[in-house]
Amino acid sequence: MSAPILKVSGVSKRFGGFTALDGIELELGASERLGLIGPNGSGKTTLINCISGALTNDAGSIVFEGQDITRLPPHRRAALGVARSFQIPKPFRSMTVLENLRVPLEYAARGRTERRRIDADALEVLELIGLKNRAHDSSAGLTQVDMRKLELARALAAKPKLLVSDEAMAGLSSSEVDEILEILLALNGRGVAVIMIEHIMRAVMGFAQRLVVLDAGRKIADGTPQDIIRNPDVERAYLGE
Amino acid sequence: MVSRRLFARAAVAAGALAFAAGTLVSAPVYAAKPLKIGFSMALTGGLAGAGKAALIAMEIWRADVNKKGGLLGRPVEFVYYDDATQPAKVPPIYTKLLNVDKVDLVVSSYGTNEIAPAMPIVMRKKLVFPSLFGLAVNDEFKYNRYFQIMPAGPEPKTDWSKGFFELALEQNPKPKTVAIVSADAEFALNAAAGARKNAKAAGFIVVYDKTFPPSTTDFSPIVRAIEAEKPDLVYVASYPPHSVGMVKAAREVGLKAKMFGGGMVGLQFAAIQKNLGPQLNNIVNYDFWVPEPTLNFPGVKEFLAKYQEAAKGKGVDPLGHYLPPYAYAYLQVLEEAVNATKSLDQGKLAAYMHKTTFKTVVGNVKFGSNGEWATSRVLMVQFRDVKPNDMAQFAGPGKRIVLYPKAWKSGDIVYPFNQ
Amino acid sequence: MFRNRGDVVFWIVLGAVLLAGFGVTQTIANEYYYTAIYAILQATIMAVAWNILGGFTGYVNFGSAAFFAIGAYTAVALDKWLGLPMPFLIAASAAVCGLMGLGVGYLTLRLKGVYFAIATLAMAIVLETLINNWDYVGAAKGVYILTPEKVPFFSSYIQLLFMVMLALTLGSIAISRYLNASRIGRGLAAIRDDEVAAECAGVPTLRLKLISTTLMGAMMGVAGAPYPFFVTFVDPISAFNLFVAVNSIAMPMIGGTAHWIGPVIGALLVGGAQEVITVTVSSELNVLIVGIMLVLFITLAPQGIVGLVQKWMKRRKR
Repeated sequence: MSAPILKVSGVSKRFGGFTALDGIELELGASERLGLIGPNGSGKTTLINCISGALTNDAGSIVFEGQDITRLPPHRRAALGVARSFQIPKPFRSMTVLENLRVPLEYAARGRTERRRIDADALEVLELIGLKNRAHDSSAGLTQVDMRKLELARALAAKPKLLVSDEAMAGLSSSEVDEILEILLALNGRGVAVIMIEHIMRAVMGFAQRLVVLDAGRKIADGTPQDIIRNPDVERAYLGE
Repeated sequence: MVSRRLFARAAVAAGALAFAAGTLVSAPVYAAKPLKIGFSMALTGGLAGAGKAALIAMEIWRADVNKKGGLLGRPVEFVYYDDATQPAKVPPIYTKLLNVDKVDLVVSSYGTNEIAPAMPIVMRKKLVFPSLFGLAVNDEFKYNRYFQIMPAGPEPKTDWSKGFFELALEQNPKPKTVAIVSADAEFALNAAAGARKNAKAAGFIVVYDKTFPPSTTDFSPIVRAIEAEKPDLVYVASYPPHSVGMVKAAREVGLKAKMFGGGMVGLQFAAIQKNLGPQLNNIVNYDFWVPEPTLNFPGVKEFLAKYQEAAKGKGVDPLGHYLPPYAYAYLQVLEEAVNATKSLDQGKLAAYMHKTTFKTVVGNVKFGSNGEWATSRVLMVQFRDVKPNDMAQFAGPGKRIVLYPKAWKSGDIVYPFNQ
Repeated sequence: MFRNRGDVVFWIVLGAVLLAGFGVTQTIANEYYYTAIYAILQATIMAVAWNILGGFTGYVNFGSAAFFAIGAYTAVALDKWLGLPMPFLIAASAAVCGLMGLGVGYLTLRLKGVYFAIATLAMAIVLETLINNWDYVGAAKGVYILTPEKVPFFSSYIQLLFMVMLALTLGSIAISRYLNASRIGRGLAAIRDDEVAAECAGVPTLRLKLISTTLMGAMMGVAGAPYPFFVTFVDPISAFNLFVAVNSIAMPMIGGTAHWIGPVIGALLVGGAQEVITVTVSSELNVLIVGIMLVLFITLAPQGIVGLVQKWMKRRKR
């Protein structure tokens, strides 16, 4: 693999006496599709919080495109190209769908966007996501699946090089899951590396080129989906002894 | 073609107009234009209790003067607005009174904070400004048409406590030491500053001199600290809640001073007097008027009877000894000046008010050149024989003996305080 | 500044109002109107200022009126010390209160929601206590300000104060409007709607929040600087008056917090009503007016008057 876009080395995170992450090692190549799986409470969300900057890890380092971002606040990481969508969508409710996208375009993607092209760029993203016809609707009145799409649209509007998608498909119907998958694949097609946390196995298996499995704060497996299925440690983690 | 609805509306309008016109025509034509006196008063907010009491007294004056035919043959009307104890409301109110309501005379609101903001306005228009209970307001403005009805005296800050220390000087053996304690707020600090000056001039040694935050509720530590210095005299400058607290704490701790009191606001109010009862005994404190035989000025008993009747159920001091007589008096002064000069010329009124000794319900009133009383009449009264839980006892003489000034003395001091 | 036709209209209206104000001073001498309108203008500046932190950024704060009081006392102190003319006093108050806003923001902005609101209240009390003990400005006794008898250009001092306040009010409205429509304003709105999401979208939330508190502080200070000259007697109790604080919160909430014109409408409506009631009905009603309006609007029209108008316009489109 050419130089990894993201290098997580020895990352640990403790909350009081509880160790949420213990010496995580992870590499991600540019445009790679990585699935992050593991039982509930294994530390997946904590890990991506550390990657996106919502939390600061106690030990280890996070290097993005050769730059150590361990101590940077989330907005700086966003400017560098690390985007993150939330499990429970967090739209800017007082704004329309289009205005929601203006924020990341004007802030995170500021260095990569021309001022007069902001609205045009936003509409382009909405077209890709499939929300163009809702551009001027209030973001507060969207359906569940449209809110998930908006969440991804906002992440995409930041013109990232890495997108961390946190359970974007939870609770959606089968056809809705396919819609979201299509969007993520299209995104990836444009050169955005994706880390996907997901419990819907068919989605992860179909989407990821590589899987990383966490259990109780430790990485227990890292390989292709086919290898991971057959990995006895993974089986044990999910199903017990 | 006029629709039925339109016709009906027009008919109603015409009828209303006719009715109104008729009322106007049949209304009695007054012989003379009313004479308007304008002011703002704290009817809501922190000083509302005092403000409402003052207004009651002022309305009694208005009824009295109108019974006598009004002023200059014109019925007296009040134009007043609530300043809500907010200084920022005072300038708009006075500018409206003068420029829109076009009042003929103005008087002040109650309290320093509400008097001061009106000063530049009345000064610009060169108006006579009778004022109700503001401490040393004119020290800053030096306005020659300001007349303060509070009997503090030509040097208000020191006159306030002079009596207390002169009484102390008369005692045998002479006391040596004094404790001065005051609330950290405007009036109290001024009073304490004056007390300090008077104490030093009299040769007393100040052994305790501290302030307490206005929000203090527990006064025992303060009294204990004072008691530790064993002062002969204790001068307190405080507001009603503090005054109550200090008196109670002094009794609790068993303060051994020989004289205790001085500048405690609140001990003049009927409700507080009833509440504290015998705890007040032998305290020597300031007051402005008490129902002692030496202060039975013409008209004051009649006024108080009217006031006490009007005050029922209004949430104001039921006895009304402290402020209301003075609220009546500051209008009496104006009344006499207008009647004597037979004019509303502010210059003539001011000249008359400076040179005259007025006869009012609070006695003779003579103003000095700075608008304060030419001679101080801050009384030092001592509480005596106070029975528990009885407000009516304060309505008559014998419970607040006037010790100072000599001219109004109604009894001798009981000294020391802690018998 | 002149990005579009809306801007042009706005500046023309502003200029017209300013000129009209000046014209009025040269024709109408009745002082009452100037004193009444002064109070409304002061309320407008404070409502606009509060709204920058409370409405645009979504950080409701109860201590903002303390900046007003510090602005007043800064003017008093400098007037006593150096006798500087009004424009300098205003600039100094803006600087002092802006810095204070920055400092206070830095200390409290790491708190969220209710905790932030309470912290701001605590700060106001601390400041009042400090002033209560500062003898140079009269401490608890208060301080008198003597105003000049004659002023150039105007027939009375209150007219001068009126023009000063009018200019300051129009200026603060212009700043608020510019902010509302600017990139920073959109960042503030994002923070208000969802601070975590805003941060992840690249909005430097701490920096923008500090800009917000600094601007709010400076504007409140500007509203306070001419106040001592209006009332001529200032003491901590009246300067730090709770009613003033409540007004500066209620007016934007009634007018509408998301839009720059909301606090202006709220201040004109509520402030105007209060002034009228003071000199007409003049009873406890005056104290009640703000409370009742606030409760009505918060329960029935949380978006404020601006929100009501927007809804009505949308309905008309259909």
